[in-house]
Amino acid sequence: MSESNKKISLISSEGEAFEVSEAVAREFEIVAHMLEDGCSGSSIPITTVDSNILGKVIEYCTKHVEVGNVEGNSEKAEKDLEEFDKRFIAVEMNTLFSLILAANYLNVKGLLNIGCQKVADTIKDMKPEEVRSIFNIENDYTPAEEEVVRKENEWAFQP
Amino acid sequence: MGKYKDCLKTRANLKKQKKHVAKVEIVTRFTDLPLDLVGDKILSKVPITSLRAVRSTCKLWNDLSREWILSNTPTSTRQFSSFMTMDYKVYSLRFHPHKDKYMGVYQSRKHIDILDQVEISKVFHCHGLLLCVLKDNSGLAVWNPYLGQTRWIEPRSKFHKCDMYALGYDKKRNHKILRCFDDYDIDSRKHSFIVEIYDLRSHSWRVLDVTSDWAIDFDANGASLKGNTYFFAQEEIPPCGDGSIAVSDLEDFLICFDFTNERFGPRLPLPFHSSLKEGVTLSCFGEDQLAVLHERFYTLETLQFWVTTKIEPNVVSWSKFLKLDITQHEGYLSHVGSFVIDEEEKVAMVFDGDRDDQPSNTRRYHKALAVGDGYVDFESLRKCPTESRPPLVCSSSYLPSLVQIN
Repeated sequence: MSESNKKISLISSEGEAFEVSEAVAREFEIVAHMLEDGCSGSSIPITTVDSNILGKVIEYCTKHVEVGNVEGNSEKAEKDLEEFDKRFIAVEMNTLFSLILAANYLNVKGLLNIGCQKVADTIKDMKPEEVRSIFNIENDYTPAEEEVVRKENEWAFQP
Repeated sequence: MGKYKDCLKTRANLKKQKKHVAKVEIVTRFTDLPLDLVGDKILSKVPITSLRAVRSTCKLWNDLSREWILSNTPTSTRQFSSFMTMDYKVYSLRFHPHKDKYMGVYQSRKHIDILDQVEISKVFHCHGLLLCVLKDNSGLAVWNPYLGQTRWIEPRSKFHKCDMYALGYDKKRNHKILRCFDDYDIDSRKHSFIVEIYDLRSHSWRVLDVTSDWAIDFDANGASLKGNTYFFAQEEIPPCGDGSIAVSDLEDFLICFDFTNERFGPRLPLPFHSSLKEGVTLSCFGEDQLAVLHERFYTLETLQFWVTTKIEPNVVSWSKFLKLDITQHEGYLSHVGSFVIDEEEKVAMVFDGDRDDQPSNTRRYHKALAVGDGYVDFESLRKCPTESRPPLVCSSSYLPSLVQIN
């Protein structure tokens, strides 16, 4: 593939340039659209994402492009990729939120999906008080209102 | 819909507020995530069995969870939940795929006492509503567990032990209860098949003018799919002149009760023929598929599962799902009461319907069997020591709905 030799620079919010192959850049759907519309040169500013997060998203896309190019032996490759994904999102919550936000903006569907799933899995086994403290959410229920919701959910499983 | 509008308003207000916050914050917080992401992409991935934490966290999450329930987005999670009756109590269940590729089940620690001290013999599920049949046949209860609403329903004529019930809805989303029973008139010595329908909107029972040339066993529970209920049925035993009955074999098929035109549909073919002593049980899975289990305990000790590839009130097609030889586990199951399947993992869980009506402190636990291709695994369910009634799991997995019943 000739296009994979072409390099593109993605510029973070701090102005740092990350040089990636076009195939990797195309994993960012927002970039892919720009390239298709022909409205960009070889350097694309990603003003809302900082270097730290942009670097991580590029790492994710690079891995997925690499694995996507391997033919045969797909089962092992898929397993590796699953492991990679798992490790990749095993980060602290604030980083995870940044990754989700970036994946949403850049439209990297796979990353958005595993990031959101990770947050959902975290919520799953928690009590409401724990959810509030981890996610910094204020409890806006009055005790009476909270009791109503609790009653409505009495059948549900307790963690 | 008032609530829904409120929710949209909340969204709009929060979006306004957030614009200020996002610029100043350097660290990304959960509250920085756009609400579309939180509602549609994150909260919708939380299993329904953990909804409690979501709804209790804050008002916004409560509203967002309602929103995705309203929009009926299927969750990507592989877990599913259901309800069952056992020992005349209702329990919630959560099924999950096990890492060794079989299905596991969690039974709620405590039975649900939202229906207070009432004893319940059966529950049927349709569209987020549960129809509860009271043990003493004094009435029925329709319950929306998500909204915490309950409606008690009085009989038109006294309910009987052998009544058959089903819950469904018509094309206008009117929810209805079907009741069928065999009436025997002592004077004329005549059996008649009575079909009644209760309309939740009009709060009233009606008797339908329905005749049939088939019979549904009173213990055969129907399975509700897209508002209509499917039953396993057999050809009616022809009456003999001298009163004796000699039948060695009967035609068997499915029959659908269509809640829109309030009629039973034509006979639908099954992918097998069951002899009179064999068991046939139905279960729903996914949004619109039916599974049938054919148990051949008396002849071959096999469990054979089939799933539909297409099903409508007047047409059905089948494919094989799983076949299991359980000769080595002879005697473990007395007969199948109910079952659930996980199509993707090709596994099923079968609940024993052994009816031992004598309570005993020493008796063993109620049993369930997790089965897959070539393996069988046992599960014991918690039981209540004072009353005994085998587990009966709803024939479809539970998804909450906002159907108002009061």
